Amino acid sequence: MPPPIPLSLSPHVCVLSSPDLDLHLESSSLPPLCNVLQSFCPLPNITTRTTALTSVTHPNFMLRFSDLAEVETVCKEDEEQRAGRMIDWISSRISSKCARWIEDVQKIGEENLKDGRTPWWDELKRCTEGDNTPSRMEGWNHPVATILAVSTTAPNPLQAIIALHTRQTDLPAWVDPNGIRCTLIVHPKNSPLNDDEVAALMNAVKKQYGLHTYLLRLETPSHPPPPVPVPLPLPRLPPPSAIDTTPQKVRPRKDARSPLPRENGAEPVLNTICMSEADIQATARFVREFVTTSLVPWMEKCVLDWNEAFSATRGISSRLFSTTRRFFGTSYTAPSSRSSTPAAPTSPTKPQLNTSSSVTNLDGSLPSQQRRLAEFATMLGDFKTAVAVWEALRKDTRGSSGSEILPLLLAPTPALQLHALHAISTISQSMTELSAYAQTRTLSYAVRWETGILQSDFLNSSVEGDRWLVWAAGNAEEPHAALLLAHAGLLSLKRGCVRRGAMWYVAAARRLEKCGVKPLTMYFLQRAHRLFVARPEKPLSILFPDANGKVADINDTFDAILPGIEHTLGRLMYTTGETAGAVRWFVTLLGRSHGDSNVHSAEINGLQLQDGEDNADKVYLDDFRAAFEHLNATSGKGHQLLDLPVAFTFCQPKETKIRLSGNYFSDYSEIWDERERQWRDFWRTRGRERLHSNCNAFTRDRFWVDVTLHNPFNAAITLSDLTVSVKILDSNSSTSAESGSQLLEVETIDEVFLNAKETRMIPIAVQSTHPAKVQMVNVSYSFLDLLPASESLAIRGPRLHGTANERQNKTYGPDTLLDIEVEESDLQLDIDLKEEALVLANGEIHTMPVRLTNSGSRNIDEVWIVRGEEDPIWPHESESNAATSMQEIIKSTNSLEAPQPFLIDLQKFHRSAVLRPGETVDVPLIFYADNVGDRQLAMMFVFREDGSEFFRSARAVRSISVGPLFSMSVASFPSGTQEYPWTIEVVAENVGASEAQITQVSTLSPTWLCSQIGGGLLGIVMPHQVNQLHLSAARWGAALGGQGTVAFATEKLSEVLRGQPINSTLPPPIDVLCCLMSNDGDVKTTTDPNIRSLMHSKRRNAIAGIVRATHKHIPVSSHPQIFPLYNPSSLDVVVFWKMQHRTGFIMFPNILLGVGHAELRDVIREVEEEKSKRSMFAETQREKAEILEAIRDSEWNTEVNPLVTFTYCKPKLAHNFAEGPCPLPVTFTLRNYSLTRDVRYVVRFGRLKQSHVPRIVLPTKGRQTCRGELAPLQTATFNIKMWATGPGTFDLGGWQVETDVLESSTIDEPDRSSPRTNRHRYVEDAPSSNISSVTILSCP
Amino acid sequence: MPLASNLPSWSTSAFAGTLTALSGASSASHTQGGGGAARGGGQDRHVIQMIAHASLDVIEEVVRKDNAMYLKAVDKFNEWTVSAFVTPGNTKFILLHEAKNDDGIRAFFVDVWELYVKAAMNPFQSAYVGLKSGVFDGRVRASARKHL
Repeated sequence: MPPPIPLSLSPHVCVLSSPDLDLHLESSSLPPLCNVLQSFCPLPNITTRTTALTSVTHPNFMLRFSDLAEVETVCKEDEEQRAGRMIDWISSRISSKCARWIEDVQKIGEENLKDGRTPWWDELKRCTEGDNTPSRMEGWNHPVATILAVSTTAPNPLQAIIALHTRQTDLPAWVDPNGIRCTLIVHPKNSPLNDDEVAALMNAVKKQYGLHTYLLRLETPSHPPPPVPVPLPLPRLPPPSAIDTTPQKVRPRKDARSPLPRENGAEPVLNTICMSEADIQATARFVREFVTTSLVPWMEKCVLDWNEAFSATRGISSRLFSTTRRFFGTSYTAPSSRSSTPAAPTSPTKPQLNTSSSVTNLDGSLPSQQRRLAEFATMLGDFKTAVAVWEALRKDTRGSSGSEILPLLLAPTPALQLHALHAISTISQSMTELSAYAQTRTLSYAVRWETGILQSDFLNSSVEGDRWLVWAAGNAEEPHAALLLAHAGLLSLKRGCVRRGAMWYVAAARRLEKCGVKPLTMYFLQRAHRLFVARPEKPLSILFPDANGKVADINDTFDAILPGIEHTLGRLMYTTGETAGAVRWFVTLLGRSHGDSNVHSAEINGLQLQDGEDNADKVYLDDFRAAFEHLNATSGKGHQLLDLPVAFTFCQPKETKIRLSGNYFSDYSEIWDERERQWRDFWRTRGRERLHSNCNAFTRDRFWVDVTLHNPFNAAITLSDLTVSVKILDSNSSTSAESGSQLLEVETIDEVFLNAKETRMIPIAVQSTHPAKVQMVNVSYSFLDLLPASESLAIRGPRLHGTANERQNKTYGPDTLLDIEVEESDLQLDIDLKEEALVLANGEIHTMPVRLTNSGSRNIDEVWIVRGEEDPIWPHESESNAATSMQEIIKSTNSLEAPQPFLIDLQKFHRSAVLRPGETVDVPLIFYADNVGDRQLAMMFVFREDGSEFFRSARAVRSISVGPLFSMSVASFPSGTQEYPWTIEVVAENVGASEAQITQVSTLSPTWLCSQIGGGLLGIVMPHQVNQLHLSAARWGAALGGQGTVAFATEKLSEVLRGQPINSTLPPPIDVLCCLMSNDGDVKTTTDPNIRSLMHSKRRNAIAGIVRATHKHIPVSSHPQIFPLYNPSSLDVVVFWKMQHRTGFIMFPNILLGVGHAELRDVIREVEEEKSKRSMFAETQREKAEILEAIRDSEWNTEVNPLVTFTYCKPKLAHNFAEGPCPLPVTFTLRNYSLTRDVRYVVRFGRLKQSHVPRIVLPTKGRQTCRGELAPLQTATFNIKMWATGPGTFDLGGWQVETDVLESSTIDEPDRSSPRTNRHRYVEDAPSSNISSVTILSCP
Repeated sequence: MPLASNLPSWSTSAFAGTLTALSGASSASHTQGGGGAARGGGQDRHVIQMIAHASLDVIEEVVRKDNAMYLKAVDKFNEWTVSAFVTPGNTKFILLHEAKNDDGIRAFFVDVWELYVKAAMNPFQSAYVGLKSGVFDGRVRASARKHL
């Protein structure tokens, strides 16, 4: 079965009726004859024959009837002008009807449209198909037959027929005159002629004008019969004079009965005709007879004849001509086949009868015979012939003909796309903007393709018909082009290409918008929006989004599409008066701006481009404001009914905090937690009184809800009437919300201005008059002073993982809200640190006054200060007098324990031991600026009324900045003298900005007694000046406790190494010797409680820091039980300074003097050899190894050769070598630097190495070896005589010392009897550098 | 009508001057002449996005039939030719271009794939969150300069 041929490709029959017939039809309430005949189309079951004489049955044979006079008129109009009018006419029809279409479509729903057909596309199709004006470019609308109709009511019917036949046709020369002429005699019942006369008339006419004469007997009753529905006539462009913006009116009829009511918007209006059944039968019989006996046979004959001519010429000429073209490159013109085209058999008198057609019709001449052949064959359904001829035509005309028809006739292949594209490109060739005529042609092509190709084929992936429509739409910005795009979108959707369909809808809307067709524009945009929002199905695991913690959103990637659509929709709605809808769109749009995705920037070739959307938010906000203000103005408070879904938020609940009066330091929450922990640890052993949380507010005291607001927009906004909604959970006085509002006063901030993307914290004050538990529920505000909104302050609870269901489906705990307990304000203490910021010099001792005020209603008897473990703050004690002795002994606890909270002695600073309500006391604290830099001093004051069962706390933070003053370095060397074993060099450089005076130097050591060697250091030091001081260090005779401390540390470290639990014993106390050195009479005593506390604090911090850094794997809490504060051999150097009225000291702690003997050697070896207890976890093993390594390298396990050798001789000698070699006396001094063990030594001489270039003469006489034994710190001296054989400079080398460290000392075991074992053995050669040398001069 | 007095003098078009690129099928005659349209991530951002988004339909259709990762000129919208690269994980890279440069585009896509894999291996990178890495951007641009 052939595909349905579009109506515009059907035979066009013109009707010329006599005036009497028109009059008769009008009197019978019938439309003109052409309309009556058109009502009987299509004709069912018409059979045609192909050139191969095969029968083709047309289930519906289409015919087009039109009034010849009308055709003659429209042919006279310029084609371009007519095309322009046509476009305007279509546009006006669309714009006038679209609102109703949208209503209808929205009423019945898009999904329920019949066959998915949209009314706008049907309208466009009907307007296009209804055009029957002959065209110069194609022959489809050229009439193939003319019916000359008269009625027997004419005074002289025969005369009327002759008049019609002799009438000169007024068609232009380019209209194909080929066609048959039929004569129709309408014989109404009321005709004056009887049947015989009519038969005679009929015979006469047949005789004169041929066989194509028909008689139509009509009854045409005087009373119109009931109307019968017939197909609606296609709309036609009104003649030029009648054009206006209203749609074309059908020719007025007397029986102008209203059309039947429409079923829905998609259905065309039904037309009716008032004919009796007999008349209908007669007319139908006539139309069928006309087609089967006259029209089709004539067309078949034309096709047969022309096809013969075509076949004959194709054989040779086309090949010949194509070769000619190839050779000579001339443009081809189709052969003028002057074949024996049959003249119209029934119109011998036709005046302009051409038996042949011209070749081309491009210049306005007749359509070629070949084209007519193709068209006729197509009309008759002879597609085989038609395709062959169209193909030939396409080749001959380089595609200007045939390409548009071939897609209708061929099977769906990708080649069809090329045909279609070619057909359109030939029209739009070399045109930047399509002419109106070209637009109508592309439109008619598109409509024919859409109608004439089966939809299944048209939407085939190899054909992609939706794209054809898009090509046909071209760049035209007319409504028809927009509808083509929209239909392309619909077809894309049918193909499953949702995203492409959405794009075409947007494009269609864009063009319609330019034409001002707003209802359709909005509809298309809304459709596109729905399509863009709908996510395509993804065959992904449902766990995939869960695993990614987010649901995929296509808008993340394509973030610019939806805002554009929504903004246009909003504006369109506003301009069409739908303000509420516009406001909704603007709100949605603003919600979309949430986040950072709307800030787009792109960099191309290094050039930073802003895409203009930075201002988008501002535009959206302005539009929203304008629309909303208009809505308010027109509908009063109607916006409250909108229930606007505000998708944007300003408040950040997670960042929102409650701040209490006096608690300005909410950022220090971790520090305060630590202070509270310290207090609890401290008080646990002293009592059971608990510390009340500081998180509670007090009645009549304001507290603040610090609401953090973030402006998500890229434009400034204002929020007015910002406040917090609070809820009273339980109140002692009342629980009702109404009375709750009386109990609470919540501040309302009139206006908050937020810059683009700004985040700001806005404090909102709340005050309660009664104790209650208050919960912060919402933040409410008025957005831009227009839209009231509120945001919840709830924070989503944590995700639950308790049960399998919770793990598989995201489940969260209950939301949490900020709440606070308001207590009665009876016990309160205000802290005033007076000064805001403090700038100190390094080491400065500063007295800091703190003012405490009892602002509650009860007494305060006890105030404790809790400070950080390393905060050097102490209560100020009264200063001691100057030192009376230059050596003082401090009894140290020798413990690394952190300082504990201290109690303020109110009695000392206040007139009584009780601080009564309203009373104030100033308490001095001393602070030691131990480290350079800025620090925050966070102190917690814990207080209570005497006997109270709970403590309350107050907090204070002080910023302190410490600048540099002295840069110190301390170095120690073994001393070569007999008097003291060590020399210490202290260097101090003034790195401050002003001069400072060093007033005193003190040393602190459990073992070493220091004294000053010479002067220096003490005195004024100018900026950048360096002062130096040398100290001697000798063993303090009364040193006690050193061994106990060493034994304690050794034992505890051994326990650590063995993995044994650490018992809680603390190191034994130790006496520390303080040696004071000063040029001044006023010597600061180190026993002064302030100084002693600060020095202890400084040393403790230093040692704790070292231990923490070295022994990372040993818990900090157990450090005091393992490490003593003092290593017995350590020495601290303290330099006191004075700068105008400021004083301070700088301590250089923990200089180790003396040697160690690997006291932990045996334990380490034991642990290392212990293989069996290897842990299966590599981490544990690695940790153990690191602990071992740290202890091995610690100060408690040092191992050094204790014996140091000094040599001495005169540096310069003169000798007369004539008398023989020069004798050279050399003094050797050996000192045992060990504090605990004896050493045994052997000095061997004559161990000259080759590298020793100087000539050293060995003693020719005397000992080659010296032996001996030395007690701790003991020295041995002996003289050796060397010989020099010539003058020169000599090094005193060539000796070797062997040292054995003995296991025990004579100090420990004075009465030893058993042989002692060696602990360590060292062999040392004379050093190769820094060696003593001698110069011997030769003198006569 | 009281509304009329309040109507602003808006152009209701948010796409003014931008959708000309989408003006349908300007057909063959505009294939060569349409190069003047603004390109890149600038003012035509949403047009470009719409074209890229629409081309996903064709890409997914082609992917069903074709195993190749590089889909050369898979779609065409006016002057824009769409080439695509589909990774084994079904991530699609879409490139809109005007000039024909198959080898360069292929090399560029392979480079981008490698960069993408490296970036996606970051355990903190979610499949649903855009790659907001300056290094990634810089390297993609460098590759574009090299190959395109």
